[in-house]
Amino acid sequence: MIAALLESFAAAARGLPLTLAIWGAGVATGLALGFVIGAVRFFAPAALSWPLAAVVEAVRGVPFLVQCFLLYFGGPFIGIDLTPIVAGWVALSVYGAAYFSEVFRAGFMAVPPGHLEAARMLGIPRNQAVLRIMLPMMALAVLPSLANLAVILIKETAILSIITVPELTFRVQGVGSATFAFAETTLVLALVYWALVEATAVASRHAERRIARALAA
Amino acid sequence: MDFIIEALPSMLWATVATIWISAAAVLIGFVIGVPLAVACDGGRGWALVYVSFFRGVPLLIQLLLAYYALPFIGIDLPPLVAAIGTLGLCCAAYMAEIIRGGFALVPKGGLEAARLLGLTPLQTLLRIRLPISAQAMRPALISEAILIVKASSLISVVGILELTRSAQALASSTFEPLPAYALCGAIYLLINLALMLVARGRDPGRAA
Amino acid sequence: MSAPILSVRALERRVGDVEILRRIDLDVMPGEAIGVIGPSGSGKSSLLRCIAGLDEVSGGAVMVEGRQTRPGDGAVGMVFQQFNLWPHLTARENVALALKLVRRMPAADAAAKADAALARVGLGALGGRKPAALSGGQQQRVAIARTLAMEPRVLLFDEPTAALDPELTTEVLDVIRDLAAAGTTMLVVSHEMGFIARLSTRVVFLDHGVVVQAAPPAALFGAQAEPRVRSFLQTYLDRVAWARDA
Repeated sequence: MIAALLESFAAAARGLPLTLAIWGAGVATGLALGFVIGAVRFFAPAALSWPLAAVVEAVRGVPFLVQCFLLYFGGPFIGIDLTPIVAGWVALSVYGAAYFSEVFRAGFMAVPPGHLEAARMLGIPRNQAVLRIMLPMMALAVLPSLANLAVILIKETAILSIITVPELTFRVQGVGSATFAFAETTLVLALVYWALVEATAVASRHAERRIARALAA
Repeated sequence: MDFIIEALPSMLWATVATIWISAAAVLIGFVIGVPLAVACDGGRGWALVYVSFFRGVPLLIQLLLAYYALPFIGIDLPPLVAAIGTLGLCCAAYMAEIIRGGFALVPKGGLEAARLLGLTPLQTLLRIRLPISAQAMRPALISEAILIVKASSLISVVGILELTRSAQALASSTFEPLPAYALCGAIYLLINLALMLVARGRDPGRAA
Repeated sequence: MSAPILSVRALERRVGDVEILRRIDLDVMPGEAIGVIGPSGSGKSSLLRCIAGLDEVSGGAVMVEGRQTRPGDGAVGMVFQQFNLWPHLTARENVALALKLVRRMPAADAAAKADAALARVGLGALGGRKPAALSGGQQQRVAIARTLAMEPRVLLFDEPTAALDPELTTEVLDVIRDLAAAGTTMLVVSHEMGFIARLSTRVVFLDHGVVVQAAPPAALFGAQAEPRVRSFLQTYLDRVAWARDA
């Protein structure tokens, strides 16, 4: 039993780098894509905003697992033939972007119009007003939600094991199939993710405070 | 067209399964979430650990724990019970946070008035705190219900026949994964859109 | 001479290092209306909240008819500055809830008693309304009815008109005056000096958690006022005069 636990921890250590890499990459592209979608939905005319809204709602309304299946198993039928890792990264990015975009959009909406009107009366060009007044104001407001979503995405990466991405869950479950010590391997998985999520949550709160201070200064 | 005809009966039943399993989990989640919220507000250590665990561990791993680890320590539950139970326990952790948020909106004076008039803490909870915060909590509770509908797809992994599992079976029997999973996703979307409509329809801000 | 209905003995309340109430002694006879006045932060509200049992007491005792009180035992009723009506219930349900849950009254009896209490504060026709559909003065009268229906031995009013627009204070003060005239034992914290002077059998002046003077209104508002009381009242009168002349 001890052997199974040790072996599971070793497998977790081997899988952790890919989990973190795919999470980091997914959050980065998800944030970028989410920002663009959020900005388009706020600034662009309805004709452009509407279809995007439908896509965002669709992504948010369908289980992540089903999206992974669609992309990984269904993709090849329409010429999208991705390796598991790339499919996982794309799926995580799209899923994250849908949620991130809603946060950004709410952030844009939360900036009181009076601030932009004041800038306009002073003759500050609109793009400058957005860049120098609107974005800094909303950054503070959206930071906690973005961090929260990023932490949630760590847990979603476990689902990628089902489409055979060789990350943490996949590797540790491999130990389970080899030794039949499923109880031990699952326990190790739970502990590792719990620690990972709690550590990331604490780290993100620290980062939030530091960014908030930097913005306030 | 052939695909639809072949898919429809099994997917229909699977939809019913997904709906009632999710409903059961949400119900369990709320019933446990209320005392959990009270315990968290009271600073009970076990409640805070409970919430941290169920929010910190991926649901997929929680389901595997219920499936593999519970029998290991002598608790042998039917897979469906274990799956719904896990989904419900996990839901409770999120519900507790929502309910705490709702409780924070109840003015302290209303609770003091109840105390002075002699209402017991349980009566105050059921008759004053919950009803006053219900309106404020409704959108968050419906979002949570939507998350649970989506999360229920994971119980396919422990072999329970619901939407996602049916879609998998359909994909392998027809060799057409794209329409199978697209149909499956569309059904999830419909369920969740219906839930969103319920949320909006009851919004007094819109009704007025 | 009957026994006091409410006795406050050497009451103390400290929060950290701050002494909010210092050894307060007060006996209230049945049917008395005690006005409690003093500068803000003097401990007026704390005194009422300690008597009600809502705030922790650091020393001393509060007895109603010789028994230590606890919130919810029905001995003491309180009307709050912010009304504290339950927004999800109608006026009638606000009044009837404790009758049903605490007094175990059948629903019909509780509703009837609630209607009677509402009629007593002049709101007999508005029982079906939710608090949001009532004016501030009406809400406060519902709150009074809610407390009244439980028939407490002593009624506490904590700045009952402070949250109201000036034109709505009269209807609330009239209800309190009627209750006092009917022999209800009460303590009233208020900044409405004229009202306190006419209502009270005795007025207690509190400053820094100490009773500076407790006397009938004629004495306290007249020549026998302590210097500290006099200066407080002078400031108050100056303000009123300024407002009138302005």
